Amino acid sequence: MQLIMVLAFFWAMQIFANVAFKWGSNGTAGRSWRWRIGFISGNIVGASSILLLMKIYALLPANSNLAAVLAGSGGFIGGQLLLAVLFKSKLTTVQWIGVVLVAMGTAVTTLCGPAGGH
Amino acid sequence: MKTNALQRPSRGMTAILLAGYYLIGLAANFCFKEGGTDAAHHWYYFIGGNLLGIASTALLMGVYARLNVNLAMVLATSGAFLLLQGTFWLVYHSPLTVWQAAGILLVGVGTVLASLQPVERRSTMGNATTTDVPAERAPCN
Repeated sequence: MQLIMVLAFFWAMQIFANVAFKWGSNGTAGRSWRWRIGFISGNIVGASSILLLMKIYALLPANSNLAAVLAGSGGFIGGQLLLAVLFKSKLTTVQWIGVVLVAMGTAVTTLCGPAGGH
Repeated sequence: MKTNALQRPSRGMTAILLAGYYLIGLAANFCFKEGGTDAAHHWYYFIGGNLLGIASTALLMGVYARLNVNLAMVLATSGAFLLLQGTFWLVYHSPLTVWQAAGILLVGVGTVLASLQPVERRSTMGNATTTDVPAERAPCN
């Protein structure tokens, strides 16, 4: 249960950081307030989220691969979907297949083997 | 002045930047992993890993400047992912089943596919890799 909570917060922070970077990128680099807010908030949240990543590694000490896959793929899928919705970016069919494959791979990796906990 | 030689991206330099990005990024991930399991040095690893992570993104920007953005993104994301997984497996002896290994491979393939962006137009100039415009990043009003 703790792992799920930590993963959820880590994913949320990673997704927030990516959205902040994308949102800020619409401003003038280094000059506009929009760019600065996006850059600073994205970096603060993104760097802080690493504490949760380290917690995920601590919760799965015997299986670093699983920890890395779980941590990386959730943020990746969530980021892709939220960026597509918020910024109306159109994913191609191949990109959608990619997102689905990442989700399937994560599910298979998580469900088909030892979790690697204590 | 040899502007052509200066402007043309060197393959060797691109490979060095990409390799540097992989290695420094890998080192950052090792810091995060070790920091998670070594409570005594938690903050050292946290700070060190973040500094390495920032340094790796500087190299990544160098790769983006020299390669087609699609190719750069695919090489960066999939290469780093597979390198991290392979190295973690070797170093930490993670008990992966065949299905888990297949799942990791699926994530790798999925990452490549999701990173592929449609190319809106192909340049007819000699150095096509630096002038292709992915549709997603093309300016639109």
